[in-house]
Amino acid sequence: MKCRLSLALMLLSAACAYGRDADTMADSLSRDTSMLRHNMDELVVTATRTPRPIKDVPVLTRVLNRSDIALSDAMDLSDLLGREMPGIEFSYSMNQKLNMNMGGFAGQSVLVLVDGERLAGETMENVDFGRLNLNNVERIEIVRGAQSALYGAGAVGGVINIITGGVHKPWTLNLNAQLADHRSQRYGGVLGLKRGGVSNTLDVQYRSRDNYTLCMDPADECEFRQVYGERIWNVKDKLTYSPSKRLRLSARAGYYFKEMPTDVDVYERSRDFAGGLRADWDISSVDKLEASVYYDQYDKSDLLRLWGRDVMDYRNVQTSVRSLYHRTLRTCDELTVGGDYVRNFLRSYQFDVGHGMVQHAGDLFAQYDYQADERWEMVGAARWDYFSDAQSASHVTGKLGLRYKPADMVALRAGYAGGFRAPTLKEKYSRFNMVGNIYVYGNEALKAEKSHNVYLSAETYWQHYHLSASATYSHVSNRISTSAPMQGGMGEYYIRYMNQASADVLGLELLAQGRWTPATGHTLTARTNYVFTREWTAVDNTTPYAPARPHSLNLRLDWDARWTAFYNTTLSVSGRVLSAVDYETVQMDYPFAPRHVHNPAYTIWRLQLQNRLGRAVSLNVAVDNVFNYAPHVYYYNSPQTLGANLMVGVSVDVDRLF
Amino acid sequence: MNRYYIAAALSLASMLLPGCDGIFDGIYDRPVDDAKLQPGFNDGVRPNRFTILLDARDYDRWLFLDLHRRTMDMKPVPMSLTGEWDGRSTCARYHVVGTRYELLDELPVDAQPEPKEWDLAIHHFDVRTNGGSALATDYATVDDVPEDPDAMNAGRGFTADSWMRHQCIVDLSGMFDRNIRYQASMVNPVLTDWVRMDFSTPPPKYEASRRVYVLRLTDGSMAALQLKSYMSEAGTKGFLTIDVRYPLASVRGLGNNETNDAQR
Repeated sequence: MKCRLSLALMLLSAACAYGRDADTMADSLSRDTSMLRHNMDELVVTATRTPRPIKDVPVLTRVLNRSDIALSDAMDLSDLLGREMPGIEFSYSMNQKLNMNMGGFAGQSVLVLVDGERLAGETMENVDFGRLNLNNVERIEIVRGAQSALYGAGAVGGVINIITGGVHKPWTLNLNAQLADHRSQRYGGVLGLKRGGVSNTLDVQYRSRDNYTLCMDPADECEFRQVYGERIWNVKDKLTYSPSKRLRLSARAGYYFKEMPTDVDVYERSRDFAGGLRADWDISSVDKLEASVYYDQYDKSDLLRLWGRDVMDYRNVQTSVRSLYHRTLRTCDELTVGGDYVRNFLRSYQFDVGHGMVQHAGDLFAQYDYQADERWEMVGAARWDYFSDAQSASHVTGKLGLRYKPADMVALRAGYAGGFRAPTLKEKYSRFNMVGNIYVYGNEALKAEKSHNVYLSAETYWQHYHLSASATYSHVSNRISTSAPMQGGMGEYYIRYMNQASADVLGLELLAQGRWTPATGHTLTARTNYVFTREWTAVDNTTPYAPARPHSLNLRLDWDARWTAFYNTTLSVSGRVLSAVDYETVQMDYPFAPRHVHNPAYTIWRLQLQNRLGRAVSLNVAVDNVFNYAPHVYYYNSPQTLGANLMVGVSVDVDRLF
Repeated sequence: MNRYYIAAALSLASMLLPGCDGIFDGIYDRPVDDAKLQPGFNDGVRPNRFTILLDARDYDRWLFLDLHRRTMDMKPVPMSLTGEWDGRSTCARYHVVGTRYELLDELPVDAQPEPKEWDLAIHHFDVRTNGGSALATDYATVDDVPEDPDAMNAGRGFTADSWMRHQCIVDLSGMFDRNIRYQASMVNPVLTDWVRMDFSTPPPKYEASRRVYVLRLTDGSMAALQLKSYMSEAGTKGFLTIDVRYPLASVRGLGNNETNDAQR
């Protein structure tokens, strides 16, 4: 019975992968808008690359679904995750480049995917989060811990997979806008059209924000003084054609443009051009084949206003071909076999050669998901990766996961996963003057970073309660980092990419959630998440970096009220408490003396009222940082706030007005 | 209808595969190679109107300009003391927080060497004059400056150079820790304001004043100067393009070295 249910769910997966029915979503939105309050049969795909109910998936997966995203009214992915997901912290690095830290793993160790595709381009080892708007996102799946056996290089610390929506009605149109302090504004629209087997989704978003100064007093030793304004255009289109019930073909294209006035006379610009084709073929009731080709080009340029010139100085092009085959065996077991090829082209101002560099990567992988009975499930995977132009050109990664359900609503999970990350072209070939007299040198002798990861989790859903506890431990060897500053032969100071001997990361996460109905039409939902992260690094000659904050606590209370058939509200109070972090680093100035850094603890709270008028209109009014917190000194990982910020957002599903 | 979709799909695929090194190059301006730049004096449309291109990227040298002869000379910043100390030339490292300078260490060094004949010297964006003085004006271009700016700016006096201990940066590598090494030097504060540099949060931020300055030399002649750009067309900071009108008074034969010599 259980297996038949799973099979039925898998048959539904195609529809789910491309978007849940909009009406269902709206109903869900009006009934239940609390964070992480999900139907436990909701399908997720990231952990196993096959659709599985979230309660059964062998690897603990966190999901933010469409209703979560709508309620958050977040500006983009970093805003959403930074606010709602404990253990994920976004901070700035030099020149306002956004850095993510997820449970002790920095941006280069966390793989960010959009519909399973990697993103080209990076800055300070992180993808451009400005690309990741939430206009048409169906759900976001977050899997912590190494996933290299399924996703290859880069998935050492986890995977964030953004799954976009589709269209299932003759037409849909959503228009949305948000206004906030610093003339922050966002305008977006998603138009869906469907006729017969053809559907198209056009997603357009524009947002902008003015510069604002955080650190007014020049005598303050702020690491960060000004938040740059930005102007972003994001246009995406997805065309889907289903010539039969078994075959679905889709084409997608995207354009992204960002401009940041980082200097009076120089505006930094980024552009991305993406396009791809994909086929999903249900060969039979037990066989399914996916194949795709995807092109992603990310450019950076400087608009030199004194010269009136727009000069490109960085380009990363990823061209990938992917295939994935699933076969259901023994009614419930799943065999997944796949292979990828990626051509990675990089031309950068950070190279001292005038031309670009190319790296080819290929991989083959297989996974078997064995469901012994209703209680036991085991999943094993192995993957072989090949990289051209690498010290160790090929690498094999494995994983083994176990899920045991001693009772219907209890799941215990444990497993091992290998992780690895090949050195990037930038890490191998950089040679540039970073700033002043400090150079950054690449290292052609870099070895691949490898990790061994184990995890353990327990989860229960009982009536209106959901409790979860999980622990992960990772041992990373040859972690790719940069050296401590050194003096070169020409008298210059430099840092160099190098392999760190070892690093260890321990993570614990606790989640508790409850839901009550004190009166008809009124629902209270409370949730709290706590994450503990501890990092140890070998004492060696690498640049010490800001580790994750050891303690992170999120709290949220939602009161859903149905006042009339036409008018519903959700009043939300949410808060985030982040502990202080202390670490040792060295001065970048000769003789590179040790320096102790203390980043203070802080807490930020938000009060929000979401008003829903009928099924079509939603009006959000929020006060972010309601207690008017402002750091005394702005560090790179301080909240970039001057105090309370009033935000007003509106979303209209135009098709539902009629 | 299906054929159209298949054709569109094939067209898109054919676009994707050959474009592996990138597409849409045409939306950017053509890159300029800094190595091909030729610093020096470039004649303009009139004898007393010209531009100067300087490679002032390095912090460890001064570029000395002779406006009369239209020549340029380079002298390194002394980093040690090899002879008798003049009692004021130093190279000092400060911890800089806003406008507060905490002295970390200081070395006496040789006096800044200078060529025999020079009018104006540039060190990165710092400017000094050879006994001259300068005035910031509100004119839009050097061509707008009248021949006798003194008359136009009565009461707004020219500013002479002054001795500054923390203006001329010679080592910015400690910027992350706000530890900056300076050469104590004569500097013209008015002209040096043509580019403001803020390194309080790396990387440094720059802002050009875009103003037209009048430089009065010791021989009484005057020059109008405007920094058109402090970066190359490739965006490299430290390449200065200066619009010059010298002398302001229309003297026949100016631009000819012999005539200039005679004027001195």
